[in-house]
Amino acid sequence: MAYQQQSIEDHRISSEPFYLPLGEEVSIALAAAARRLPLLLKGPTGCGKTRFMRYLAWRLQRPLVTVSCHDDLSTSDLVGRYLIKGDDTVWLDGPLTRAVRVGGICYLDEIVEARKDTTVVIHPLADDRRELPIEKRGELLTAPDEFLLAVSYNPGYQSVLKDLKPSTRQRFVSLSFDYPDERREALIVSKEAGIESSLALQLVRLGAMSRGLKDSGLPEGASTRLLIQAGLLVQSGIDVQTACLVGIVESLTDDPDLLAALKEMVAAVF
Amino acid sequence: MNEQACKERFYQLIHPSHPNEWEVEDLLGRLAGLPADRQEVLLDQVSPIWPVSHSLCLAFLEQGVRRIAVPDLLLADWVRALLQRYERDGLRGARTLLDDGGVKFLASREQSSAVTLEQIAPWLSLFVAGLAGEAMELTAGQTAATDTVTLRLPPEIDCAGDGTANTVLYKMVAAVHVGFVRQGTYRLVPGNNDLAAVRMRFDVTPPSGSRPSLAAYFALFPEPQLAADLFFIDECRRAMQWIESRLPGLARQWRSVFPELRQQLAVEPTSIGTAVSRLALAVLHDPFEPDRRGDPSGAAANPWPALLECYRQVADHGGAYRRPLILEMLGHHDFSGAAEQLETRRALVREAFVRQLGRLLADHHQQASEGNGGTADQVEATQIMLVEEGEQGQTTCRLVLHIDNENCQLPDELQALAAEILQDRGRIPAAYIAAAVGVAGGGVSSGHHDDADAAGPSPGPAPGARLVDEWDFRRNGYRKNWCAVYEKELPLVQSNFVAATLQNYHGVLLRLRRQFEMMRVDECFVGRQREGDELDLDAAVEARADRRASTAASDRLFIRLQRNERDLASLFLVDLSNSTRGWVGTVIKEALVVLCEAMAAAGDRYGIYGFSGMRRSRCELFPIKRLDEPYGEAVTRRIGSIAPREYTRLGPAIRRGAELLGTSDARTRLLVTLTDGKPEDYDDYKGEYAVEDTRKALLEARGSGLHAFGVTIDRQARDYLPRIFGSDHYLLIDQVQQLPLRMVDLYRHLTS
Ligand SMILES: Nc1ncnc2c1ncn2[C@@H]1O[C@H](COP(=O)(O)OP(=O)(O)OP(=O)(O)O)[C@@H](O)[C@H]1O
Ligand SMILES: [Mg+2]
Repeated sequence: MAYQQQSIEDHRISSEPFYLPLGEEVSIALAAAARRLPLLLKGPTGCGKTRFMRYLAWRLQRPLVTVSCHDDLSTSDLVGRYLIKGDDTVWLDGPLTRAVRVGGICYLDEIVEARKDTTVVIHPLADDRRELPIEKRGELLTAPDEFLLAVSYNPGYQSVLKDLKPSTRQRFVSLSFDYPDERREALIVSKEAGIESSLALQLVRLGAMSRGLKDSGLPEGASTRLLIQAGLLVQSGIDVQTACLVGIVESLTDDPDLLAALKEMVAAVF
Repeated sequence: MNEQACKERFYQLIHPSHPNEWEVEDLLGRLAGLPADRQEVLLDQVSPIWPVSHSLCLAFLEQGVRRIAVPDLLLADWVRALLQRYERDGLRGARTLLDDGGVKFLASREQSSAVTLEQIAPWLSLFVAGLAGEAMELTAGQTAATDTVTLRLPPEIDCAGDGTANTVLYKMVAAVHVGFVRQGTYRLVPGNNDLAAVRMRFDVTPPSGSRPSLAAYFALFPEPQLAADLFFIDECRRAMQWIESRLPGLARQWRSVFPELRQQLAVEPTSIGTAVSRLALAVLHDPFEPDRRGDPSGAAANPWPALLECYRQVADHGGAYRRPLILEMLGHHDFSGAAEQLETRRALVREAFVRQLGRLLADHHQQASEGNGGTADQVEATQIMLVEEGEQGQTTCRLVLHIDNENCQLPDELQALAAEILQDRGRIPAAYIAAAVGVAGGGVSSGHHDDADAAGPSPGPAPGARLVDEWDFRRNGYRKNWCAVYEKELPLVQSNFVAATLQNYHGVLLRLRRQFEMMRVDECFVGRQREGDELDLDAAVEARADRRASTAASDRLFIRLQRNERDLASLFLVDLSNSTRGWVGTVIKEALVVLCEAMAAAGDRYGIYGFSGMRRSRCELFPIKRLDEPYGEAVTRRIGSIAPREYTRLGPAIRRGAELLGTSDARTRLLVTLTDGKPEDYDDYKGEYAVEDTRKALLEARGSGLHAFGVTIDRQARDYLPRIFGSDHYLLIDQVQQLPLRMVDLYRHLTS
């Protein structure tokens, strides 16, 4: 049935995801998990935050429940709700509750996108109380030691209308992510897209060039994700330049000058 | 316009010059006979031409009254061509282009394949930023060169047969110069023994006591220009190798235009010129061609002996040397400019390093002495060492501070500074550390008269003054009621500036208005409301289920169309200091017009204040649009009357601006500061003091719940903007023409 509770086993990660550590993030996250401290991952888009969480879940052998936040996300969407089934009603746990019950990891992606009245439900979970009140059922869940809360956000140019409240922010251990250096990023791109390392290096250089435009009107340069995407297109037989145009350049901007410059960069690099 | 009006307008345009009436009377009489729109079109060109040549300007009007073949759209281009010709060939030359009403100009335009910098600068500057890894300012210059911060490129390239090829040349020349910077050309210095070798070879005695520098080195050769050019060619080899490996696509484009160029440029009038030209062409053809030095890595290990040898061979051709055309096209090295930039950069880094290390030491020392029960022994007595940690040759070599047998990690900012110094000098000079110890030892570097203004005691504040504090980082405290801020009215002037801007930006404004209107109609359906137009099915089902489960069910069961009120107020502070004189000033005015138009579409609350002043006793704030004032005639007239004034004391302006914005009850409040450079006043409000005060003022503003951002047009700004505004809280504009668009884009981005 459609509203059947998804089995938590679906959230277990059975094989090791490829993750190339860039600093001390793995040991810090493991320490935080052992100390039952929540994690705040910040960094530009597509730099490996989600991948890192998958890797961490695998390392800890805990299920990972991911929620992508948006401004329509309600508290019920996180905590759970009653559903009608025939003449009966059944309670359906939300993803957050589910993760708390089984001692898994709950990862709230792009937390700033959620409305502030929604984010407050995580407050009692994210401090030393570690509890989740389920008001409708009059239930107070206390999180087991294995439960880990993680949230992410992108601190780049951001709308002043959306910002993390200090009371939310100051509950977390923060891990800062950024794009890796040339060598390691090329390694990631080549591995993920299955392309030769020389081509990966060229893609990475193109990415670095686009990031050089940060002060010139391009708020965010090409992410590792975009570079991989272009690599995958090449792998499927698309010509490199075209792959870069549709896979990277056009996804970055609509500004005609920036487009022209980025196209010239593609033509210059390949 | 009748004759009288024409005359008045003309005299207004050329003010303060005042030619004799009889010189222009006849001309203006005939101008008055033209239809009004023709008059406008012609008079518009007076301002660019008159300052260059009065006679040319009058001749232009004469011709304009008689006959002009050039369509209005191209008129500005034609005038530019006239001025260029005038500067090269004088009035006679310019008249050959003028007297036919522009027929020749139009014809040459049709078939010309020349590419101008102006045409391609909008994207070329971004392309260069990408290559260089950071924004570089592009300007037009006689020949291409860079001082590592600004890249000069010729205003026009017309060497190849078609436009595409000329564009490739532009890219190539730009890439070569970026290559110099990235390959470290400007860090090369010949050693003493290299100088000695040249001295011996040519038997010259250099001026004693001169430090080895490239200029001094080349000066030892009989023909310094030739030596410099041979060095230039050799560095082109390294730059080309960089291009070949990094930008194979560009290299390929280059190979397709190169043969044509080579044919044109191979032969020079003198045999020595031809020899040099050949060398250059060979490098451009294939930079990996059996390297004379047999060094395939392209590293400039020691170019000097080979240079001397090459000079000897070329000079054997004899005769006077003139730079060959190919080199004129490629440009030259700007060593003095680069040295200046390097010095500026070094001074900045040194200052920051010493200050931050000083603070670190002071903190450390304080902790230590507290631990010791307060026996405050001197910082000097402690042993301070910077130790490199991590594998050699690795990019991640970290510096560790070793004090009193304790290792102490450097904060990131300091770490980055230290890395830069290491990169530049190979080690951290002992003097830097000594200076930092000095700072920490309590002797805050002197040279500041403390509470006295440079010019003696200032008079008490005049009525209407608003007193604000100023932050003095040296004593880590405020100077109370230090600055007097006055609000002053701008004159309301009548000008067609706003109308002209609206017309120039017509297309852009259409797009902006649409975008900004979309922000306004931020309507959406919100569910789970107590009342509304429709039933919220999700909520209703949920409530029903809740009731069945006999828990308290919500009564929020409706959907309502909600107009999302943007509860937002913004204040824009605009730098009106004297340094904005000229082109920046005009663009700032345009930017304000565009901003107002866009804001009108969004319906957001905002205010605009200009600021300037001189000394702490007279900081001035000029309301252009008060927060609740509607955008109307008075505002546009004030924008029209904006003119550069005095200095930039940023702190007081921000404090007062924050105060004004603080009175607004909007939930989100945004303070945007637009400047063209570092904060600086007439007195000792400059350098670190000014940066720190401004930073403090912004921290205060943030502390009171405002969001603060900065927009700056200054190529040096990268050094201090992050410090002042915090990373990601500023926008740097390197092409001033882009200001209007970038500024509204920033606003849109920040508030949607
Ligand atoms: N360190 C890394 N090791 C392995 N793969 C990586 C690494 N960094 C990035 N990637 C690759 O980049 C892709 C994008 O990363 P990911 O989806 O984790 O980004 P993100 O930071 O979560 O972005 P967003 O903020 O947009 O959600 C991943 O699918 C992965 O292929
Ligand atoms: Mg993600």
